[in-house]
Amino acid sequence: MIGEGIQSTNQRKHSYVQDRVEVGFFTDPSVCIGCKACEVACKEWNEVPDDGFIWSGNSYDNTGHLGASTWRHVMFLEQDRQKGNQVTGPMGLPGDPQSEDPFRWVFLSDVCKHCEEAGCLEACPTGSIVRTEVGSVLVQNDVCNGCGYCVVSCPFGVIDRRPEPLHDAGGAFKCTFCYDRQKSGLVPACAKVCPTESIVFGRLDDLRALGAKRVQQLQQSGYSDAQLYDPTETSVRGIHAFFLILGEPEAYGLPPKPQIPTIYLKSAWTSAFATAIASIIVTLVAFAFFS
Amino acid sequence: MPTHYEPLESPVKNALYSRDTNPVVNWFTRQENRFAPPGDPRFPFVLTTYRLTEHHTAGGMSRFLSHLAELQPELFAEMSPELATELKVKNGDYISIVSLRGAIESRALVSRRMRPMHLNGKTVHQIAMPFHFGTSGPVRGDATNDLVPISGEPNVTIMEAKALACNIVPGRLPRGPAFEEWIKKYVPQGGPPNLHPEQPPPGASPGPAAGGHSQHGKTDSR
Amino acid sequence: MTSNSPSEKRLEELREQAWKEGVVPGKGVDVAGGPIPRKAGYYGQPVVKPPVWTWQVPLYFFMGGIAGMSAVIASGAIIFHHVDLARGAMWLAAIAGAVLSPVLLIMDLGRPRLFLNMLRVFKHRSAMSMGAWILSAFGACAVPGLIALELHAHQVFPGTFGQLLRIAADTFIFASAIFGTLLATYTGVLLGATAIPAWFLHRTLLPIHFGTAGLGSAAALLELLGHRMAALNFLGYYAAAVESALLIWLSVDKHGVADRAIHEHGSGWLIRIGEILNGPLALVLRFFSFVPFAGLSFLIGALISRVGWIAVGKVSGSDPESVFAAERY
Repeated sequence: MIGEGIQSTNQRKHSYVQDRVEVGFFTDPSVCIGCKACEVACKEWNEVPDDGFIWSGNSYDNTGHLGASTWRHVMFLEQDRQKGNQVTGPMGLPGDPQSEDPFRWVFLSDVCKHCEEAGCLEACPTGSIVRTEVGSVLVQNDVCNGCGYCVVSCPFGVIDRRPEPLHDAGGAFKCTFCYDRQKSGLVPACAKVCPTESIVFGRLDDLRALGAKRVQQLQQSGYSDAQLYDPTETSVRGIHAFFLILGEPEAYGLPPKPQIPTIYLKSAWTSAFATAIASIIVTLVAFAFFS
Repeated sequence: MPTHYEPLESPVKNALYSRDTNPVVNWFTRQENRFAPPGDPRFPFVLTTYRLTEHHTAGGMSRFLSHLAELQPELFAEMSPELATELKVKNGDYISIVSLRGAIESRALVSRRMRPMHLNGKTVHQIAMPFHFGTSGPVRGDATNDLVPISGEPNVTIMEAKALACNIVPGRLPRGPAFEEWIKKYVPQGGPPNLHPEQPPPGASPGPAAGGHSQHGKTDSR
Repeated sequence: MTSNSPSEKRLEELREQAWKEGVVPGKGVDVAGGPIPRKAGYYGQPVVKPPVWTWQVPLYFFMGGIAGMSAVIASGAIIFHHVDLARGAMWLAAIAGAVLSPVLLIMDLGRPRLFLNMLRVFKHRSAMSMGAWILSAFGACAVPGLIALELHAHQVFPGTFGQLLRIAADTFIFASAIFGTLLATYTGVLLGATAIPAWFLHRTLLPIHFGTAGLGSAAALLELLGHRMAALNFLGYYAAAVESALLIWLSVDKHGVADRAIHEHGSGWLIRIGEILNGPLALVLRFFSFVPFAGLSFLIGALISRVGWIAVGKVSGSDPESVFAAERY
């Protein structure tokens, strides 16, 4: 928590990997200042190449979306709503109905969700994508051969194949949850540098309790549209990197009801087997009756 | 006692006193460093400059680091939707910004975070630009400080770079010889260098309180 | 707003309309993220990711279908004593399935030198893992089956060993037929079990389409290579009839915004043109006894349709609104 200094779970050493404790990220936009330190720290630690120097015109977000070379992405939303009980509207005096001009600028740091049931993990044919001791989803880049099936299997559009001419192109990349740092008892780079502890790292159970408390706190302070984004009731069964969002998920490009694509396997394979059997039968019929 | 003076270039006159600007400021009157008079209709918009977190210290360092440069790769000018409608500019269009000192081009970032001001009964629009860009590095842009006049605050001689008057012309800035022709349309050529009524003429001394700390105690008369 | 200029009033109207209806038609000031939501989702950014696959993948689907179903035809031919057809079909199966298909897939990999990693694990919940094993098993059966069949046909080893060869050939060929049916149909599962709306909404249609297209393509190609037989003609009719039915099914089974990539975007036309070529047009041409043209039409249609399905996947994966709309299915 902010104010705990080096005793905060974002700073102090831990042994989650050795103890096999499930960890997570809780990201809270109500205190995010949009500094992008998380993006830069992630890139610096993981030696992620730059993602192109393209000005988007989308507020201050020139990063665009998560991808092979962007593992933390700060979103900038300009919305026609109030932030909590703030009154905006500089034109007239407070209380003057003409001067009501609600507006807010919301920042949210997006990251790989590290799903409880991960589409990329199930889809990977080389066994490159694995679940770690701390419950995160990790791509082993020395195994990945860049088939690209994980790319179309992620319901959140997180993982991607890195194109040429970037460094180490061809493989699939995404947030590693700084597994290498965690093995040494360190905290992921983004959580370590976040100046407001908008990104909170710690034990998943603790974070879930913290998130619930924070939503309640915000609702009581006038943030009527604060809600937790943690789709536990879908086939994804919850995400280890969950979010508090202000407003509806669609505004953040988050699917309200994400599903792991393996739920579609049963009907698809049934259809495939039926076609397979029908093909054999019809071929035998063809030769039996039409020779 | 606290007091209020208008910036050296301002769209309005000082509402508190008959004198608009700080009487002990250094003006550095030169032909290349002219100041527009208050409410000059040729430069109706207010320009303010600010820092971006991504290029926090200065562009000269951050533009060369790919992880910072990709976060803010281009110069842009933030403007309100009202101003964009008036100028018929869409988000992302190129615009040229002209002041009495020169002209630059940038992209337009249209946002409701900018609001028009209503001062003394007239609407005054403001645009805001970061000043981190330059001619070198993986990400380049025009230098916002090309528009800023040099002045000297009475105590420490810091120049006033955060408030100036400008004009906005939609479209890209012509370069090379075409620029010379183009700039004549928007910036008056010739005439005395001290256009602002409170600006001392070239060669005059700035005033009694401007001695001491300021190194260049006189206005430059070249 | 206290200002009364016409532009201010117009902006107020636009904001009201945007707030009430969520969308503002027509031109106007494009405000980044502001009150006028011009693009769905977060600045129109994709919610899932489009496929990164290149031209090798639809071509592989086409080849794999032909290869797999050729082995089925070869099995039928063996049972009913058409050895020449069986040999031709097994050559097709081996070349398309054991040589060209792996080469195409390896070319599409981001790191081709690690292609063997596909066989590190066996994951039944991954259609691509299953496909890698199916393809490997198919090749491991088709090639020895072909070699044994050819050795037997040329009577290289007379006597009992020759007869054993024949038994071996039959076994391998039947096994390759089993794997072959899966090779031709698993690619439909591969596309259907993803997060791309236009694909997963048609996860029942795709395996039927790819499998039947494979069967018809194998028959057509064998006919074009000179094996004109009534049985192949029947298979040609069957495949074209099924494809025609699938075309009708695809056209009526719409899901609104969720699969608008198929029904409203240009790439959907590739699928429809492909289905017309390998459906009604192939049927008609075959009915009027233009058998080679029917076969060619079927083959071209089958290839175009594969290309179309990948193209539609790229469009659908880049469309945030289709992902939101698909959630209700």
